[in-house]
Amino acid sequence: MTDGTLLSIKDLVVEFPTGAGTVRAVDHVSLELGYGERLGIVGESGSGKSVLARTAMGLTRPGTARISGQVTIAGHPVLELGERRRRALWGREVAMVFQDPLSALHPITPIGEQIAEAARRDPRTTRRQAAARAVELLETVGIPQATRRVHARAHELSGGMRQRVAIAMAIACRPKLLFADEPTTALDVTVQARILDLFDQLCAEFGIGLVMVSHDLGVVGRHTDHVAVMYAGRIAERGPVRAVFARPSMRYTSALMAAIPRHRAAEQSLPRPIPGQPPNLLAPPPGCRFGPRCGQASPRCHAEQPPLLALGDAPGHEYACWHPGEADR
Amino acid sequence: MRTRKALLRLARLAAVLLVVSTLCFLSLNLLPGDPARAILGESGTPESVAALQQELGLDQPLADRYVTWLGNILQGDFGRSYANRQPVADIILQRAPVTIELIVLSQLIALAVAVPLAAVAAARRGTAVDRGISSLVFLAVSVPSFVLAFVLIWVFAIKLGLYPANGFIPVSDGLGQNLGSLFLPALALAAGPAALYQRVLRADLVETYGQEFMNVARAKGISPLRMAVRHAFRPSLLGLTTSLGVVVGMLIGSSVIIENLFSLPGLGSILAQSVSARDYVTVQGVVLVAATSFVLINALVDLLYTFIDPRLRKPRTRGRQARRAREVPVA
Repeated sequence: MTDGTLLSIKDLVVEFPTGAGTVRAVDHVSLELGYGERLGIVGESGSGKSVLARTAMGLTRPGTARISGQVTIAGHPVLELGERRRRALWGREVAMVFQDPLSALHPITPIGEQIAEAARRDPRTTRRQAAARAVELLETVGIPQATRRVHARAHELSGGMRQRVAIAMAIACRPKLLFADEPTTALDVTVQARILDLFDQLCAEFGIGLVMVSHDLGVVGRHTDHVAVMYAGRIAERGPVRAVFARPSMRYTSALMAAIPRHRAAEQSLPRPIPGQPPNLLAPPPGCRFGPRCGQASPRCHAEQPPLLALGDAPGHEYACWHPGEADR
Repeated sequence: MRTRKALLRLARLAAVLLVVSTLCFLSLNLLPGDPARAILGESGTPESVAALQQELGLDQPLADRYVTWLGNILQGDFGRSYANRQPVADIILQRAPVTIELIVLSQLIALAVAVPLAAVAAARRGTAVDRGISSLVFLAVSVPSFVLAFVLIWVFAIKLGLYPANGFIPVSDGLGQNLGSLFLPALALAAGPAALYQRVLRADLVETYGQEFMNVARAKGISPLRMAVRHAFRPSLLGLTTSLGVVVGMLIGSSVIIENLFSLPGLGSILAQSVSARDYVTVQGVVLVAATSFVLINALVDLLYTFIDPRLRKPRTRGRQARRAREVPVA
């Protein structure tokens, strides 16, 4: 395309007016993703990661939220487009896999029809071709006996199968960009791994760019190239996965890593939970938003918001912390 | 397994019908007042009353009368009208088509109005359009059908002269004429149910629009019209289906007033006539037919559920619609 950038988010702010005041769910977030790259967005519940993904895709309705900033997907200025022109992108250039595959699939329509409907988003596809494509897609996402399964309904499938169907639906028109909003949270651990492997396989096979939203840093670390850690609507740290894992520089990132359970004997230590709760976004703390929960916070942390600073170890590794360094183990 | 379930359902239906017929029989036979005396009036001597009682079988014990009555009903013999000695079965067969046509026509009108209004209101939920439709619907549900009937007669029959104010024209005289003669009464019967259908369907549609699969459909790039028709509609039909079953049953009762107002020779008008003439046998027959229709229609509605939502066929049902459908009482 234009400059090799698949997704570009610049200075995105998303605010929801509520009865109690305005909630700023996404606070001046900028991100970039190249074609075929995989980005993980990690954060706790309420950190704004899902809102970020939905808004970046253009799904957040302008009537419900105040949105400012710019989002470009494959050269299309998403936020400047009206609903009709966004719709032209959805399902074709960009698609989304949702969290709970049972509620994401239509309860009555057979899954084959739902996938065929997605395939028909390409106007050159005939009804007959779309039906054949549904079978083919089910095979692609690893569902056996696809010719028979197209007639099944969502409630007749297991959770993992349902998510595979949702993925088949999302990739039906070979989108350039795929958002996955906590795609494995509703699944068993053993199924989770297989679904994540499927994402890896599809991204490699079709050159799909992936934005995977997750609360699980471990998942993101193994299945993406870049990671962005979000805290209370802001980017706390981002960079290549390797660099961030090797040298987590924002205190929240290190705390998140300390909270991952480990199995290997050399690293045997109990996961350390992060004390406290994420801040109330109606009245966020001044300065660093992680300050109140951070063991190393200084008066400066409570007074001044730390900017995103580049770290020398790898291009693109940035963090927002006044006192970078690993948390004490 | 499936046949066993079907048989069980049939047995239950038969039991309900037996109870309905018993209640129907008892309610009229336990009423104070003696039909024989009522028929003969002031002029009846004690001897002639006793003779008539014997002729009508009223001198028999209640239980015997019930068994005889039920046996006859099962053979299609509803007895003879006290008023004109005509077989009640003939009266019903002659008049039922008028009432059925009236009810079917009224419900087609109600659905034709309610479904699009519900779809528009749900797609534009919370907007001025939605509120405007709601107000209109509230008005429609507030006006009793007989008041509406007078208004309709005055506007369409008297002022505009478009449709006849009363009387029934059979299909043999032309379908257009036939439908024209039923249009105003059907409209009067349609307003209330249309309002109910709009509210029920709108509420279900709004709930469906709140479901994640609708967000998924939008994210797939599906147009709003296709989302409404192909995604939202079918999972939202259970409330409407239930209402339809209940309303059609109740309309058999409402038709009494409307058929009288428009002089239509249906079941409703004969019911009113028979009640005032104390023609208990005819009343009994008509009430039994109405009650049975109500039960059968609602059994049909039960069956319809499983076509609308195949998940309900499973013995272990899940989800919102499944739960709600189970809560609907059987007839």
